Amino acid sequence: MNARLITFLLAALVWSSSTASAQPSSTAYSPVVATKYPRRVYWGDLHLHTQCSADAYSLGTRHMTPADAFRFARGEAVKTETGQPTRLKRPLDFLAVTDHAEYLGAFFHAGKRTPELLQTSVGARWAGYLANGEDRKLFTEFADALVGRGAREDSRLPDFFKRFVWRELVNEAERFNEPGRFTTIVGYEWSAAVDGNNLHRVVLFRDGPENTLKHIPYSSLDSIDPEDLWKALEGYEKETSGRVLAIPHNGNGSNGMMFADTTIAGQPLSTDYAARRSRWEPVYEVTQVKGDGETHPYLSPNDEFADYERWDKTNIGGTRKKEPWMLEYEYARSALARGLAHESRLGVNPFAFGMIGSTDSHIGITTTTEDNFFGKFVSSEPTVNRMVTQMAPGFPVPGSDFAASGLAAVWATDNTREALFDALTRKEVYATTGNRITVRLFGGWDFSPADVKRADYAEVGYSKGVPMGGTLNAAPRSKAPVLMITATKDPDEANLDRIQVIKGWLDASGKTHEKIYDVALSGNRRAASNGGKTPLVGSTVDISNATYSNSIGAESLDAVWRDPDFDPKLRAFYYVRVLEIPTPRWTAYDAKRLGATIPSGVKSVTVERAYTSPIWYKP
Amino acid sequence: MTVPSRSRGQLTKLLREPLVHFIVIGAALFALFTWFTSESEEESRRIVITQERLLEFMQYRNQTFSDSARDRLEEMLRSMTPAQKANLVDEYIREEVLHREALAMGLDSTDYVIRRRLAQTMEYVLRDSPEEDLSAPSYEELRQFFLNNVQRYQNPARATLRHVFFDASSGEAGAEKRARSTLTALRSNAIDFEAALTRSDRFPYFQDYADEPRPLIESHLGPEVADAAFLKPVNSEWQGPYRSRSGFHLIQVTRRSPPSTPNLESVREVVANDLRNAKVEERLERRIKSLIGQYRVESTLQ
Repeated sequence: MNARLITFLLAALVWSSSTASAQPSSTAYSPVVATKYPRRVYWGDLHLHTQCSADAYSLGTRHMTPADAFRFARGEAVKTETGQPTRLKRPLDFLAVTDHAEYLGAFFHAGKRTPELLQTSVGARWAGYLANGEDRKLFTEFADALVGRGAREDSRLPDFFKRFVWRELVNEAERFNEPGRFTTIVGYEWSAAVDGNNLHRVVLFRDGPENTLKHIPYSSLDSIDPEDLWKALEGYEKETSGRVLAIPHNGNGSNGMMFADTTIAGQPLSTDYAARRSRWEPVYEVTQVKGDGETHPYLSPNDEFADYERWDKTNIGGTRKKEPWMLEYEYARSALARGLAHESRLGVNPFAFGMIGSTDSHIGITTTTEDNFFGKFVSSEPTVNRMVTQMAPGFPVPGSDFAASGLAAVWATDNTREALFDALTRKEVYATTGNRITVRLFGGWDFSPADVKRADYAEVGYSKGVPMGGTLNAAPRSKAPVLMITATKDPDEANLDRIQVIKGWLDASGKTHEKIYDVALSGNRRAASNGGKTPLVGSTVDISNATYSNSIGAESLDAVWRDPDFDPKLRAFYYVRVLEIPTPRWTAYDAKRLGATIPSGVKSVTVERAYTSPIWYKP
Repeated sequence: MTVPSRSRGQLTKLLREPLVHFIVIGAALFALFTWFTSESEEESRRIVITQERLLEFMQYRNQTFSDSARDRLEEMLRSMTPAQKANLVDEYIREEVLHREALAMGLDSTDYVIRRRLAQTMEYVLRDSPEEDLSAPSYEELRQFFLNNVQRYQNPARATLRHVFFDASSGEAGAEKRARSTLTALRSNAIDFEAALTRSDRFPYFQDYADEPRPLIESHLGPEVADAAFLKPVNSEWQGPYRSRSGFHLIQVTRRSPPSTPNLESVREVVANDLRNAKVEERLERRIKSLIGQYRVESTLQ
């Protein structure tokens, strides 16, 4: 009998009989006394794939391990899959490696010919594909798995193998977790699509291995209905007393399903559904490599900055074209407004989400700045032809559509798993499209213009109001919400153009509305009054040399803004959008550095931005 | 008839001539070659239509390769009318012929995208194919690599500090004056840090810097503050004022760690991984070099 098999069986016996045997290798580290409120923002990526994701592996990510991902994020130089050396200008503060739950680690182990996998018939079949160079068949099997019923009946992996892989991933995350300095968060991605419509959710844990190892990643092969995912997460919390949450993304690939008025089963949303959704999904990943999801020009025709990194041709599977009616149910801004309408009917808002950005990169490295963009799959790593290379077989999206986006910004009391997770649940988090723009937002009734100039303005913000993610209830007589906002540029990137407040509300007839206010402008510009347009900041971009200059814009902006159109009887939300001055898009850097040709119709200038989580008003 | 001895001698001599050997062998090779190529030429101009080929053709056209899609396409193929099928076959033949002619004309090497793609794929093949075990380097090998690349494993200098900021955008002199009087008050313990904040201005970045590396501190607070934080003695005394691009700062440094070199044991895994990567790269370069060595490169460059 095979000696390796015996060893493996023995090992399996040992794990199954041991409980919580893995010890976190990290030592507690806390250089400052924890403060009662967050004093600084932490930066990270909560959505990243490595060789352990089935699509990544079958499309060429063969070498990039979770360890490579953690090392890169904490600031080390790493060589990419195609051998290109790269490094971040500044390390990130935290990272979650979130490989697809569907066939998690299986293709990688098929390639490695790991005996634990090869002894299963499905593993032997996959190893055969790889041996014959039929990688495309692997990719197809994965794509089939996402739509649930497409998967072959004989493609089920046994639980012991799933545990084997999960344990490896959890242990890698624990090995790199250094509380106070660099936090790793354990997670994975549930990647369901209904008829090719994207419903993906990233699942993140607050807990250590003593809890997370009791879980088996829930996949679209278990169910393609998010309500079933929530049930599984509820089961985890009951069993372990741990904490877990889910973060949806890419509504733009859902063809109207992400924020639909009905459940997957076709029922109208209920109070119970709304309560469960807002409980399990406190934040939405609004921007990432497959496009930006704040809003769409069709939905926001008066928003001159709405046409940004659009992915709006088909659903994620490429099986059905986009139709205009779908957009309202796909984008964050309209969903926040839809949420108010549901709340007025159900008493609970199903779409009361905060916002973060992340990359969804499938090559193990988080690169979000335009001048250091390494793409999504191996095929979109920097090469002269990556702008015209299609995303994947059967996904005829050109590489030029990829966005060098985004990051998750977290206002937490400390850089630990617990503090970061708690900030996500209270939505004191925000999204940027890749640069580290610092934004702080407080809402209250009594902020004065002088408050925002104070060194201890944050203290004032917490004592007289609520931070982003909070709610203002029943307005005092003859008062209107006042927002106190500060925004500061990324020290390594471009100056700021302006701060905007985006307001959404539900009128007495049940109709939703949106309005944009320019509340702070760089230079000597005045915000336009009703109907007019605020003068643009200008542009210093030299496309052919891929340069810009900080001779325009501001390093830092602030505002204390009172809603001039407030009606205390109407539900509303307010979030802040901060815009940078125009800068070269990654395509311009490719043209300059690699001599690539920018196809016609492809943008070469961008306006990086930040979106805060909203503050809600409830009458 | 007898051959004159002189001529016989000439013939023998001729048969010893290398040039003659060359011509004869060349002719034989030529004969062989034409015989074979005419065979394969014929083969290369043969197009066989099978059910399997057509199905594959449909799969590529539809960009779907799943089993369920295959079943669907198979069904579609079966239920085609003879005219539809003939049409499909015509399209297949047309594409196949154009593809082969393109290859024959060497278009695959003139289309830069295809060229790059093939070159890249070849690089993967060369990078991946195993030859020796790279996974277990000796301790000595690790140590050498670590010492040769020690720069890469350095821990940066870090400092823990807090600061009080005075914005100079509405007047240089006023800001500096306020900074100096606050410094006096802090040093004499007339006020504490929280009270100092109420006399100061909002700083765009952080209030506290907890064990942060020098580049971050410098990017937020400027080189003057960074120098003070990293070069002066650490004694918890309030210092300043120092100028940054936005104003004046008073700083209190409570902890600092100098740049340090970790011992090999603590970074062993990282080093082993880097060494493995370096070896893979080296091996790849070696393989490419040896391939290049099999070519004769002629240059018309000056």
